[in-house]
Formats: sequence, C-alpha cells, structure tokens
Amino acid sequence: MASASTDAAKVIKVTTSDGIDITVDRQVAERSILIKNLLEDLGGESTDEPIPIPNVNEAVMKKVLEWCEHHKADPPASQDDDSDSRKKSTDIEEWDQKFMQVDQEMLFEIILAANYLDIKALLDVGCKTVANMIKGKSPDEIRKTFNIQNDFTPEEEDQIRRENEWAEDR
Amino acid sequence: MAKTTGVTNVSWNRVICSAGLTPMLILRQTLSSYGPRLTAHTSAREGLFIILLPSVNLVLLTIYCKPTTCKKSLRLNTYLRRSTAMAHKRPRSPRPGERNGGFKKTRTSDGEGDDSANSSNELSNTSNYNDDPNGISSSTGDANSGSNFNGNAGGNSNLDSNVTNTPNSGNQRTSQAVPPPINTSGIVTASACNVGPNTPMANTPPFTPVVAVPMVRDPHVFRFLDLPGELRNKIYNYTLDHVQQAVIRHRPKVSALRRSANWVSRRPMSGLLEVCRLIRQEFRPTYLRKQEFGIDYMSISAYIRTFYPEGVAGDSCRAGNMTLAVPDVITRKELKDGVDLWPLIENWANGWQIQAGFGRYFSHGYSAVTDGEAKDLYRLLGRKVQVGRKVSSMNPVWKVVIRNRQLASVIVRRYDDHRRPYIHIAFKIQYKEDWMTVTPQVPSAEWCLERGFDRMEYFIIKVSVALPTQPTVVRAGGPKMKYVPGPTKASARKACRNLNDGRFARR
Repeated sequence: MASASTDAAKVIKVTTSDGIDITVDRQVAERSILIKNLLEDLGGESTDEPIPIPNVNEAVMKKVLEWCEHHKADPPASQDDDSDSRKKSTDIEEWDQKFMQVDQEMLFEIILAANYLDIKALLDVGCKTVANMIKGKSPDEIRKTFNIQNDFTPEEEDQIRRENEWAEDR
Repeated sequence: MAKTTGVTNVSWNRVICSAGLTPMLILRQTLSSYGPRLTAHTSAREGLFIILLPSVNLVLLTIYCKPTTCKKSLRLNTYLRRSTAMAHKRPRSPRPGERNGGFKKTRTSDGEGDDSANSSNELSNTSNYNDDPNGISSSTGDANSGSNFNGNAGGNSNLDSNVTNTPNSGNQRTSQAVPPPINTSGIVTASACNVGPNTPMANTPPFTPVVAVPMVRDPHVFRFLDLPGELRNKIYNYTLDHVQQAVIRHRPKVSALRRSANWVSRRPMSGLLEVCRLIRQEFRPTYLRKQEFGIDYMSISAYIRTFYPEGVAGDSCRAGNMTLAVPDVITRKELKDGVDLWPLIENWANGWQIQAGFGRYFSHGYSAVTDGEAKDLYRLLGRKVQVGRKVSSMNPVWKVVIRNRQLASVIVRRYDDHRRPYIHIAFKIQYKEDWMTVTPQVPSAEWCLERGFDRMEYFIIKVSVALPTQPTVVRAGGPKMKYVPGPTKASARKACRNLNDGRFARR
C-alpha cells in the first residue's frame, strides 16, 4: 500500500493546445485512458516532460479535469464499455447534471475532449445531456437548438407527411 | 483575412481554395489581421488551414475560433506562430499554374461510426425471443391501457443479429483524425498527412495555400452536426433508451388533432426524423430498430408500404421492431379478403434488422402458451415456438423460400363460423413445384414438415401457384386512367401447364 500512496502523490503535467501547462494528480489524469496508456507506455518512469494534449485548450481541459477530480475514486472503466448496462440509461447523477450546465459551446468542446482523451464516463454524460436536449422536442425546436436548416425535398416532405398519418392509438 | 479573396464559404467538408497567395503572405496577412479584423470576420466558425511547404511538410491546422473571444484564440495563435517560424525560413513566390487541388484527399472521411461492417446476412438463431411471461409488450405494467398487446405467442424474431451502424456523412472533423503532430522544435511535420517526398503530391509544385471554411457560430447553439458521426450515433442511441411500445393506426384525421396537454407521446423522438435530411438518414434506422410499434395485423401491408417505401432517399432502410396484434374479432373486411402477410414476411426476411412478432390486444386471462393461432403465424417467419416459449432455429428450407422472394402472397383466412381457418401460401409461377396448381390445396405432410408447418395448432396450410400479373389499372399522371391489359385467367393456366414439364420441378 505504501507504493500505492506514493503513486497517488505523483503529479504530472499536461500541455494544452494553447500552450498552457497544467499540473494534475496522476490519479486524476488517469481517468483519461489516453493519458493512462501513454503513462503506462513510458513504463512508470517519472517524467517531467509535460504531455502535449493538442486537441484540448486550457479552459476545456480544466473543466475536464474538474470532472476527473470528482470522479477519481470511481471504478475504472472497462475496455469493452459498450455492453455496460450503465449506458442504457439516460439518467445523469446530480453532480454531473450541474457540471454539464455550461454554455452550448463548452458542452460541445467537453464532448469532443472526452472523446479525444478517451474518458468514456464523461463522454456518456455529455451524450446523455445532448440526448435529453432532444427528447420530446418538435422538429422546429430541434432545428432551433442545433441551428439546422430544413432541407427536405418535396418528395421527402411527402413521405414524412404519410408517416405522420399513423397516429398513436390512445 | 479580409484579403483572402477567392475563399469560398462552403460547408465544412468541402475545402475550396483559390487563393493564389504564398504561405508567407497568408500568414503575414493572417497575423497582421489577427485581432480586430479576425473578430470582424468571426462569422468564422472554424477554419482549416492546409499549407503545403517546399520541404515536404504539409501543415494541417484546424482552428477553432471562439465566437465571442476570437481575438484570444490561443490555439490559432500558437499554431500560426509555429508555422510562421517555419515559413520565414523558406519564403518564395507562387509559380504560375500551381496546383491547388488534391487537398480533399487529406480530408477523407475516416469512416467513423462504421464499426459495424459485419452485417451478416446469415440467418441467426433468434436471441430476441421474449421470455417475459407477460409477452412482448414492453409496457406490460400498463395493465389499464386497453391498447397494449400482451401475450406474444411467438415473441420477437430477429433475422439478422448483427447491427450495422448508421452510415455517416463525411461531415466530421478532420482534427480528430489527424491531429497536427508537433515536434519539440515547433515544426509541424507531415507524417500524419501521408505526404512524403515520394508521393505525387510532394512532386507537384508546392505553395498551394488552402484557406477555408468559415461558418456562422452562435454560442447558444449546440453544433450537433459538427460532432463526429460516431458520437451522433451514440446520442441517437441514448435518445431511444426506455422507449415504450407505441400502438399506431393509420388515422390521418386523428393524427392532425392536437392532443390534450397532459398527453405524452410514446415516441418522443419522432421529431428528430423531421429535422433535416442528414439526421433523418442517420437516425431513422436506429429509430425504427429501437422504437417498438404495435400494429393491427389488418394494417400491416399499409404500414409496410408507408414506412418502407421504395425509392425515397434515406428511407429505404429495412430496420424495424413491430408487433402485430391479431384481433379477436374478425371484421367483415378480413372475412372477405383475408390478410396478406407477405409484405411483412418479405421485408422481415430481407431486411437489415427487423424484429417482428405476433401478439394480441391486451386482455385479462390471456395465455400466450395456449395461443396456437399466434404460434402458427409465427411459423411464417421460419421459427417454431417451443416449450418454455423459446423459439427454434430458422427453418433452412423456408428461409430459402422467403429470402429468395419465391412467394406472391401469404394470406391468412380466419372465419367466424365452422370453417377451418387456413394460411394460403401462393408461390410465384417460376418457383412452383410440379404438384402445385392454381387451386389452393393442402400439401403433403412431408412438405409441411420440411418447411416447419407440421402439427399446426390452429390453421392449416394451403398452397397454390399465383397467377401471373392480373389486369391492373395504372394511374398515368392525372385523372385519366390507363388500362394495362394482363394475361387472362385461361392464358395464365396455360402458361402454368407449360411450366409443368419438369424443368421447374423441385422434387
């Protein structure tokens, strides 16, 4: 256990896309499978070299690390997480819901960063948040939320109209 | 930035460039204008810079401009500084006739989301049979809802077990696939861009700057379409968690009515189908696969025609999850015409992933185990319901029949009197066996056994040869009707006799 506590005390540095160095607990940073694998590939040698994260800027990285800090004690994500039943629910725990109350651009960047850094649980939370934004909305509301233009051809509009003639029977 | 004339504002996945400027000039202009001008240009949602340098280096820069803080886009700043340091070493002028094509190749879609690949067409043993003693219905808790089905005698059957993901558009971020590798000296190398001294691109005259693609960015808008395709797929899947069975009927007038305020749809994601073409194309297969529909079996042909049309772009996917309710009351229409299940069976057998099952409208005291009617119908999908409500593996002979579309119709006949209900299977004339005739007849026990129709509990099987195309009336552009003559019944019979020369005999 002594070695475990030593490991926990280790810190690493990451360099964000905008050239900012951030110091972070190794345990926290290892929520990112990308960073974890990278550190493992280094063979456990302590490295003072900052790890470049060229796809994530400082603001987003700090936000992601905030999430990692809160979830550092969570059980590690399994490799084949796709079959995890946890993913089958759009329920988001309360802390994560508050965490995700950011502007749309930051939400977008967090999702991309979680994908890039391979933090599955954070990616799931982000995707669930977006899914919940869509649920129950009309097409117009979704277009407005995502700033999407209606580009259906008349033929496709007609097909949609035909499908909409099937009403729920209750 | 204002001087980058010739730059065409287009969508992300179309990199267009016609700026005949040197990288040096571009960078100088960019840097000099970086700040207020760029802010003025902040319609730039994101930009892609690809600059080919003479020393084999292809610089791929993806720039994310924060809409409100564009002048502080540190990422842009950093990369431009690095690139400038390099560009200053080897400035040169553009040559006439320099190529500026070929950059699209670096933006190839990386096939995100295409993690399927193995959409096997092999028939698989079903794993979707519902062991829930209450039957199909995902809403078995809704005992008060009179419109739910219960007691799926056959359960759901899934012909193709492998799931193929939605094909994605190329509307994906290159930055995810090709992050610009940066070495310690700050030089952006070309290794990730597949451009080396020996490649054709490296032999072409260098210095073709590509500057692209500003789009409008709004901080209050989530850039859903800028997400990589696999993440959109992930979101689509989340939107369809915990969906309930939606019982639907073709009711154009009812569908146009406003529902009461407390009415909650059981298909809350249907709005996503009507947003835009791309999302519809991506989302529809997942939607049809996961959203279970309950349909009266009298309406199944109309349902198939509507939801699986031919020739409508993006709508031809063959995924589905449907439960057919066999009504207890036999209508006059059913007495007269029966119900043709062939459109369902044909779609199911040749679909990408269609689950189909037979059930009943909810009623107390219903037992799926003793519902021979639904179990018999289930055999039309090639499987038998066994003890414990498990289903058998696919019948190989019947599989060939329905996969190869050898049938013309499968009409279920039920009666409200003493007559024995039967299923009339009509083969297309080119697939007829020599014993088959135009008149429906009961096949041999051996024939039934081979195809999984032995020991039927409720129906009997009758087999015939379908007559070739009946005279049809084709609507020809307007109120005028054009009569298209078809073969007469006598000539069809003659054709049928001619085919009985053994060539088409199957046993």
